[in-house]
Amino acid sequence: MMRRAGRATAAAFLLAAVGLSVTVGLGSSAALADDENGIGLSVTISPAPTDSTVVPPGSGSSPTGGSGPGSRPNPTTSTTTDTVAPASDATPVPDEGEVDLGGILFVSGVTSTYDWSVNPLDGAAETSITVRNVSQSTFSSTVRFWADGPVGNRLSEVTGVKITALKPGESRTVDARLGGIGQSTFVQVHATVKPPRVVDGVELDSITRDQFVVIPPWGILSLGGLGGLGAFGFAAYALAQFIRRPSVPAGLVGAPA
Amino acid sequence: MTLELEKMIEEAPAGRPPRPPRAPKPPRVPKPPRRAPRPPKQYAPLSPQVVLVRGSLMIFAALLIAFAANVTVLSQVQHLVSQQLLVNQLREQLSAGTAPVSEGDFEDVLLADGAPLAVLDIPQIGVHEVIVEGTSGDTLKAGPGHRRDSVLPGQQGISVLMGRAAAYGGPFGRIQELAPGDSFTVRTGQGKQVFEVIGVRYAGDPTPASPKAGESRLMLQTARGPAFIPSGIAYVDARLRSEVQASGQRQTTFTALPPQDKAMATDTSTVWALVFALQFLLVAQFAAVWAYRRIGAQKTWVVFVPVGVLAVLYVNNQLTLLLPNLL
Repeated sequence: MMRRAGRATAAAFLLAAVGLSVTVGLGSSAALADDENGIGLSVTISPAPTDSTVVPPGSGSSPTGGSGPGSRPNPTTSTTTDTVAPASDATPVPDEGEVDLGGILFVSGVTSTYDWSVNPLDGAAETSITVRNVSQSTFSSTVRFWADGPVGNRLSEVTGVKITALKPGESRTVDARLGGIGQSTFVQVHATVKPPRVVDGVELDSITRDQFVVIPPWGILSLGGLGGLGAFGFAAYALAQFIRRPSVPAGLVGAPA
Repeated sequence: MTLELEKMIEEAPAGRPPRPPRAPKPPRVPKPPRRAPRPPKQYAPLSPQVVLVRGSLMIFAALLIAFAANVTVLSQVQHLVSQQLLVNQLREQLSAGTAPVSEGDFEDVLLADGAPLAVLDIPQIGVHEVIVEGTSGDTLKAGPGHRRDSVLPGQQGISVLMGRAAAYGGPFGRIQELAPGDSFTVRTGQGKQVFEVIGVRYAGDPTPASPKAGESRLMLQTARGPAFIPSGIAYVDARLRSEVQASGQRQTTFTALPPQDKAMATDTSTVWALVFALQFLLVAQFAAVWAYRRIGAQKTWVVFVPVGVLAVLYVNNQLTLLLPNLL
């Protein structure tokens, strides 16, 4: 019986060792991957090509970014005739204003922070978005902010926030306070920037940005905490009562000598 | 009158007599139970099929819980460890002047996936990360990845960096908070590159025009939507404000880019490892049951708890690769 148990233990340890050796691969993070001997490919690090073109990555079948109509780099036209200077020369530095972003309006993402309230049904989301005019004209826009609850229910909405006379090259941040967020826990905050229909001869559409905000339901958590404290107090009281009860059977108690 | 009073005072007792000791309280007699306690329920013995189904469901539930814990908690620790190793490696290369400036290292060997390239600093959102080469799901566990077919940050052209939004540190989880005009830096083997944010966009929005000669652009990509539930891709475009660097040669083109390196791609190239991991888990479970019956509970626990944990971790590590790489 002992020999059988010993064999079984040895088998178990052998299995554990095999498991350990197999799971060494757990640390196969790419960061640790170090190709000591290379993979047989060689790369010639040379100065910049003398006749290359500036082609955006992914200009083959699918560009990298969004797919805006008209403004997307066309694969067929991306091979420009601009010549890149050799690396031995002084690297080119664009002058101020030389870089043409080629757009009209750029916006940031939505930033939203929760402003809590003592009233569990209150609470607000301070929401902001930054807009930048990269056109040659001054124009005005409006921004609409709104927040949706976890099931898509509308919690709050602020419309018609004005951005008046946004000058070329100017960035402006507008914000709004979305009240009545309450304890909704999972909130989607949105902002839609509505520019003029046409700026510098270019037709513009509305731009919407979203952010997902997690709001801790402190009201429910507080009630749960109070309930837990009450249960703990009751348990402590019941334990004290139990300890105070005599545990010696009645027949063994005698009169003092 | 006064004599009588004095006599009464003299006859009065000097003090109260001591009380006799109290008799001890009789102990409470426990009340007899109103009714007899219920006998414990006797369940019918389970059939082998039911035992098998119950055990399988328990293992499946444990795997699900471990998977959630791995993605939400353990992945953050793995990311921290990887970043520490990468920082050490890149610091050594920068001090020796051997940090890569192209797709090859200083010995003309193609960079492996996960090789450190640069340090990304975005103070506005608290990002200080080492960028690695490659953008597959396994590579992005360590930190933000540089897409192989694009130039390095600061070199003329467009450089693309991808980062996870929630799991494994979620380094790019807040890049949508960057506003136009914000500046940040990338330190590469060619020095410190200063970028200025152009804007945030989603798929379908108009893109900035292609860069001209002598212009450098950087594009950050991550998943948008609720944490761990990605619903799309968010892009942050930035342009270089410092001196443009010469481009190093790239061997990989967009056409040659592995499919698992594209945005929101899943990595199915190591599904074979998942099969092996599941087999290992199964063998460990059968061996644990066998040892429990033959050897006893104590020795089985000591041996098979670590083995089981390792098997579950191995399975979860492979399952994570089947999730989108920007998660």
